[in-house]
Amino acid sequence: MITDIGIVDTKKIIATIAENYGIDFSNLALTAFKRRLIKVMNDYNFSSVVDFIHKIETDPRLFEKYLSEGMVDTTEMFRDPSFWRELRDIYIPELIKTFGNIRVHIPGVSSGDEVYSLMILLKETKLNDKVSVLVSSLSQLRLDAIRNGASYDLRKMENSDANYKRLNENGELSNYYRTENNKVVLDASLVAGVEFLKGSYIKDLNEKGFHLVLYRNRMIYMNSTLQDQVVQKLFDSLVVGGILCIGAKENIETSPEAKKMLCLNPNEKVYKKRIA
Amino acid sequence: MEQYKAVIIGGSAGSFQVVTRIISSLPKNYSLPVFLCLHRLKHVRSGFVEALSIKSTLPICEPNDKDPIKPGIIYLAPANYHMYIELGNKFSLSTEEPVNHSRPSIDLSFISAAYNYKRKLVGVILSGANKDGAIGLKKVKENGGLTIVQDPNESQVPTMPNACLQVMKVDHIFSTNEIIRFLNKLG
Repeated sequence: MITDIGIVDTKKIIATIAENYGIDFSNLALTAFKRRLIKVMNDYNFSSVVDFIHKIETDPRLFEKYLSEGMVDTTEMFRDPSFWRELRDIYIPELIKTFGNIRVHIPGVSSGDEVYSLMILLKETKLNDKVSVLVSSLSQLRLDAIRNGASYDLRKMENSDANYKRLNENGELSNYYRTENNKVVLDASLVAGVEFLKGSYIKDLNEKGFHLVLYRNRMIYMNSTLQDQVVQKLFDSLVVGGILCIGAKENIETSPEAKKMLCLNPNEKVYKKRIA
Repeated sequence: MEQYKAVIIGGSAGSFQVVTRIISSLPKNYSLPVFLCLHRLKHVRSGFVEALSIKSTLPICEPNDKDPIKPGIIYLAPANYHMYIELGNKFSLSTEEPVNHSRPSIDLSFISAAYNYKRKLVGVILSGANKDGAIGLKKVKENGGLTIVQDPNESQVPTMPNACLQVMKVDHIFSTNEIIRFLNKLG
């Protein structure tokens, strides 16, 4: 079992992925990235970095799996219920009031947590037909899984159930999923109208004109260089008056675009684009 | 005495009073950063820092992702995130899966701190009801840092210090008073 990999080996792996697949992982936050590499290598019983690199070079199908399984889940639905309450009661209604129909982007997803949480809220507030949602990810496998109802450890649902209860006292999240062999499968009809797109948000996707972008707890896996690039991309993709939501402990105040945004809620980290 | 650069403290059930005593007795001009990784309710984001601040001589905060690490500040791992010490003297946060049912995980914070501070780190494990922290404290030792556990006889819930003692030879088994005296000598 591998317990640690050094910087040199980590850099070799990053270079191999870049060379063979054109995906640039060189600007990720190191500690979490190393942990993901170690997890994947152990899950697939690799005992050396050399063997792992060889597999990456020679087996694109397995690489897709590593990519998918190495991604960090947000690990719960309705994380920070207070955020979802504001989104439901304030931000989405105001956006619809201002713009009529609105477009939402959830970039760089790994799990279906944010997507399904949003779609449940839209269904419950009967706003689905006013909102179109785009979901993008580096991993086609992850996108396929989300489209088909995702699939979660039953244990993981404890947090999600509790979060949902805090948001909707009389509701039961279990109305939206079924249980099969200790796995939870969400009701895939919730995401039937969602558009799925494979690609890197930095490199390939240039979609614009969004009224709401949900990008919570993704930049914590990047270094400052990449974060600044991403913030600019996110900013550019929003219409003036559009809203960007990031993680409660993420901080974009140091990026130049922050000055062109108004922080609507410093606790939930909700920003509104003031000027182009 | 060896020139230490940082102190990291892990605790769970029964550690709140000990932590409060420790942070109320550090001098105002303390020259090291102090990292606190304490098990806490996932969904309660506010109140903990405020509760600890009442008694603390030093400023306490829950760092944002990528915040720089500064001496003389106490940093509390925020609710529902793992807290890592990154190269370049700053924090990073993570929503990776809980470890030992815990997020923040004491092990993960300690491992990242051990990796970055090597022998310049002092690791302290206090009272607690599970074994989170044992692997982390062992890593501190393996990287040349100094390791301390609260005396199990004095700990309200001794499972956590005992778990450390089972997997490694710690440098010191200290009472709360001895921990306080020791940390005061460092900075």
